[in-house]
Amino acid sequence: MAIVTLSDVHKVYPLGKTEVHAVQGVSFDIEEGDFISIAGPSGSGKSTILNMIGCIDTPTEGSVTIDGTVTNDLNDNEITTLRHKVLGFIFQSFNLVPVLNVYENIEFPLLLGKSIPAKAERKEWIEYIVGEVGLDRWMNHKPNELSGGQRQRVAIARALATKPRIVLADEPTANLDSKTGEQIIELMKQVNTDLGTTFIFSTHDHTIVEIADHVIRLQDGKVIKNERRSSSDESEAIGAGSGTTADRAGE
Amino acid sequence: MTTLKMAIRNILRQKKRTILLGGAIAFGVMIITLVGSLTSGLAVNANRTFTNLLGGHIYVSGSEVTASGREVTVVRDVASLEEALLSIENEIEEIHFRSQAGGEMIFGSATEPIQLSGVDWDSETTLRSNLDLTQGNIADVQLEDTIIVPEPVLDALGVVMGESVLVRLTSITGQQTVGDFVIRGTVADAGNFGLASGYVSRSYLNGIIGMTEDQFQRVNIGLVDTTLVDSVAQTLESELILLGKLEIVEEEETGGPPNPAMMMQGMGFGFQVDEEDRWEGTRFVVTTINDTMEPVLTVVNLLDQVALGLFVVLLTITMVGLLNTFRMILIERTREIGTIRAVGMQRKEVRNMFLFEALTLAVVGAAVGMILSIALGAVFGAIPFGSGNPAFSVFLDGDTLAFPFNLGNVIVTLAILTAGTLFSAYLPARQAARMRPADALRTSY
Repeated sequence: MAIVTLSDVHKVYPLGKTEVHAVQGVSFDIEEGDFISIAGPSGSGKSTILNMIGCIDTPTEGSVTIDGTVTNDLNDNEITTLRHKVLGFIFQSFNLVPVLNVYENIEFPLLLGKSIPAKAERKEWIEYIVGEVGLDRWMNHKPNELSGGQRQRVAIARALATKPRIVLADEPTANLDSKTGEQIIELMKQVNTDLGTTFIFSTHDHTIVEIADHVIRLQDGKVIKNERRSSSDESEAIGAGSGTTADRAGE
Repeated sequence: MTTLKMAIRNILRQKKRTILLGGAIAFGVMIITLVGSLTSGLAVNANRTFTNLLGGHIYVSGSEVTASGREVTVVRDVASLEEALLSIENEIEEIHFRSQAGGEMIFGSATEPIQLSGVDWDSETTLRSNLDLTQGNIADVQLEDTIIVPEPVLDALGVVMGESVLVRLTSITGQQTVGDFVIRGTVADAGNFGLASGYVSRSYLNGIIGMTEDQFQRVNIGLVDTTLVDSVAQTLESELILLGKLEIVEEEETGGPPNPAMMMQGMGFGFQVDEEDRWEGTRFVVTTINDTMEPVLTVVNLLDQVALGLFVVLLTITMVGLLNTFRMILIERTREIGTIRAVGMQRKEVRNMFLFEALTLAVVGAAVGMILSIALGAVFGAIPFGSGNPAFSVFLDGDTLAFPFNLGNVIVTLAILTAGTLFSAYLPARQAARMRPADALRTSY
């Protein structure tokens, strides 16, 4: 069953007196446990689609369904709750809260919402994920005391704190050197394998595109390729269902 | 809890800005609290001075018309008075029965005006303990011809302790009479409102001005709760009206409220009363310390209004500063707001975080301001002002100003400051809460 479904999604931004059609009739499904890359050049609509999947932006037309819930009809409270429960975010610029240390940044999402886990339970879980991202010795440091790679590791740990079913990563390696970028990707792949968390990336990075088991290529706000790779490295083109997705897997 | 913790951490983020804004709040609160406690101190000191000077908070004097048609100030109908006093007995802390007479002290060829209070030394223990004698022994008041006078009168007459002086007085029927006294005590008080006041034995004074030993002209009532002066006086008046014993003193007749000079003067001058205006038995007049203190309270109220105006100006400046600062903060933290909203913080929590931040700043600033005002009050309160101006001395506690901590003022200041702070921070806070996460995250500044 698809954990994310986009059906004929359009997004139009006003730009002065004109309009920008950032996304034009995009439809695709994402299966639970996918490690999926949304690739394409700048301005192709990657981040806009990611924002709509992340419920931090809404489509002008069409619908986005997350974990069986059509998000279009939800009010702000409901949509915030959905984000908190189902989604985790990793940003290009890390976006950590500067006044909180590593432990507190990771703990932060756990303290939101109505059912807050007990302190001991939180501590045990945070220590586990901090260990997984290799920042045991940096728990009490503030973000400005960490390197870019370390900050992104904290961001990954924060995204995983609420045990979300989907993690969205917007160009997660763009601000990192290639070696650190590779380590971060390996880390996310490992989490994907170990915890079954669905990872959705928007990226230019070939390394991510190569490691992804599902790649959606965009150009000018349209899907030009929707490719699922099998374990034997054979690609399988997927029809988008709406007829708007260009199926060019064989090209 | 997260919201509060982040709000406090955010305050410490820009230390210089926090110190400037918190400092402005602290300064405003310090000025307001200081002026507020100064005016409270002035009112308290003036009240105490008048209470000591006039011997209580409510004063009931009695007058009657003699067979020859003269008005004399004397309370002979003690039964009616006692009956009326029963209605307020629970409010009374102390009660004193006094006689009073105005006249001149004579020594050789020198004369000095003086107002004499005839007191029952056995019952007036408060006065005995409050009289701060600069010379003499308070135990000597037991000697019936003792007179206690202000030092300046002593100096003006050129007499020394232990010498006899004559005092020319007017009897209750308007006759000139002379009393013989021995100076056995002095007080530093130079007198208030141009009046030098001396204390003598009531029974001895009565003998001189034509009254029997146990008679009196006025009852001075000290209340347990001084804030109830007007209502207690009204109860007493109502009771006297029921007894048909109250003389209504219209302000038009007296030309305004009685001043301390009038209150201190002897009241019996034996004026002839027109036949149609005469009455039977004793009629009472009730006055209060508030009537007497009206000019003083006007000054205090004026100061209070100036302080209020100052508060409004300072509050407005501070609130505009706060609003401006929070608009800047909103711009600085736009992406951060986008992040915390994306992670799952609800709009309400974002708004509360901003409001907590503003409130914490205001409360800490106010606390610092209040501590400073208490410290400055202690410093200013230690500066001696001397007794150069007798009118100003009414406001002093000894020779210094008092800055009492006024909890009511503090609560009102905090409440207004809190409301103003929340009002100023609310718009930026609401704007922060309403930001769309995607827009906030796209912001590049």
